[in-house]
Amino acid sequence: MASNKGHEALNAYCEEIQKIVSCITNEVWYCSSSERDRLNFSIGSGFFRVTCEDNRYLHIDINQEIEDPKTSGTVTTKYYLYSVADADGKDLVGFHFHPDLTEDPILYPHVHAYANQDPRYLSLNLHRKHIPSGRVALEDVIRWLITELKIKPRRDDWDEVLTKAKESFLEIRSWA
Amino acid sequence: MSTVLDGNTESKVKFLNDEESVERFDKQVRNLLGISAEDFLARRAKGEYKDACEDSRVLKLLMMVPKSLADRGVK
Repeated sequence: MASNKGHEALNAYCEEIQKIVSCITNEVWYCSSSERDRLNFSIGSGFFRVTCEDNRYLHIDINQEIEDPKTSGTVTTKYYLYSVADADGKDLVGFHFHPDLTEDPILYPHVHAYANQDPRYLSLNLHRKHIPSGRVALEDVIRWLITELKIKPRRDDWDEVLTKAKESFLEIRSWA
Repeated sequence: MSTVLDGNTESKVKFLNDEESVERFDKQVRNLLGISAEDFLARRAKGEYKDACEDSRVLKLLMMVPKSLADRGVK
């Protein structure tokens, strides 16, 4: 039945996102109905702090919006927003997908480089530009934070967790 | 009532009811922008948040507007 299938799909989704973010935080995911009649998932109170290997701080924010699987029977990501900000909360990098957001409907997944303090970027207004990225998996963002931005992982098995989650994601995703 | 779905890790998923969603949204708007949810939605209605990608805090809040708040006509 669609409702049982939808319930199972939602449970599986919740289990996956919990595992993925547990690699860097133990913040709680919150789910609420969005004005688009979808389920909005976001973490903690917004922009949780993480520590890097050199003891610098960064702020991370993670949001996803999915079609309600109780209706469709499957989980489909409609929006995502993964943000990296510096210790003062100023934006550094953003991974975005929000094709039907009224205020800023960009049809393709994109990246923002908030490098507007560098005059070369400022002259291009690069922070306002939507750099095409293809769909970026949350697993890849977390891996990037750990391996390149050197955020301290919270669990020893983060590599295995992210690898398994990515394999599962590649099997079930409906768009790329 | 909200429910908490425990997983295999320390992280959890908490499902919010309408009232909790509005309360959390208001707290986030105040925390991130220093204004109320109603003020945020009024500014949005005036078109102040075009090019939302410029500020990830604004974009996040635009994504989060709860259905129950939008249904009240506060848009």
